[in-house]
Amino acid sequence: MAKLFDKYEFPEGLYYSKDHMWAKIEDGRVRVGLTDFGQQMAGKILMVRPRPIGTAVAQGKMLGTMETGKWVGPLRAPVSGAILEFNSTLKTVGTADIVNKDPYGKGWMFYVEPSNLQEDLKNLMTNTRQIEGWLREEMKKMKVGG
Amino acid sequence: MSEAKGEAKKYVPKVEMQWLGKVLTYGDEDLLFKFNHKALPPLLMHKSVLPPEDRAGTSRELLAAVASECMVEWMIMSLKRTNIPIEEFNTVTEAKMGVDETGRAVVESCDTIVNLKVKDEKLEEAKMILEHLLEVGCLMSRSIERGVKLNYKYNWLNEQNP
Repeated sequence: MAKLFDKYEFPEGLYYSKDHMWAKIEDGRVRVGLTDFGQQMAGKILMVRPRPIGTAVAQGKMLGTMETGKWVGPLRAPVSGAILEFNSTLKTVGTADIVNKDPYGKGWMFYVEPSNLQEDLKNLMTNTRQIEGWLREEMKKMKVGG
Repeated sequence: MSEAKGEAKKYVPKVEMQWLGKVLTYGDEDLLFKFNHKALPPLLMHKSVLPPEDRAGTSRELLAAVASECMVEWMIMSLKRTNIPIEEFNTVTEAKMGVDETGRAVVESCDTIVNLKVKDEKLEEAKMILEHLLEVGCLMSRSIERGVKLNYKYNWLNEQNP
């Protein structure tokens, strides 16, 4: 069941990075997307530009870039591994805002073949109190009202 | 009707130009531009102090400024958002001239060279951000390349009632 912190949804069973990405382990692969907080901070997402399929990316490094009306920013890998698949819906202006509408569902971004999963998971958050504390700090940094 | 309290005034990009030909110490080709933006002070185009052969080119200079400013803003915002501190940044834009099918002069291209330095460890990420930016363009590059419609209308002030 999804946990709400203020108005931000963080479903249980996912791992969260401090770069506003989520990771879900599915049959040895990792599905990755932008958190609800991340998409709300970004505003309307116009387009995602992925690195090529097969690119090996270390945890915290860029899987691709996303464009909003105001800036182009990074999508950082929550786990190390090779990019297996990209959600092609996000390539097009007009459909990429599915990330805003359904960040944990149809708005998923990448599948990654993990290369260092057990170690990487230690750097991600699952614990409710940890997520809440981190989120409060982020909101302070971004001066977002709770 | 007055604006509702707390309602933000809608910003309208608008430039007013005043001809200074009748103003003491100025000449027929001197113009004063007033922008509707707090970041832009008035711009005095004081051509009359120049010999006639040096007066052309001001519009092209302004166009070159437009071509670089919008993209540069976009780059700065994006690098900042990606936590990539900028060490050095400057651009040079040249408005290159050509002729159209009727033989009249046109600006064919605005070529900008961006000189940018970031910390070495941030270079790869900065390159990815800039590749994305250059692929999609900025408000001004998209608009100008698509063709901005320029509409002019004139009012004869001598036909208006005093």
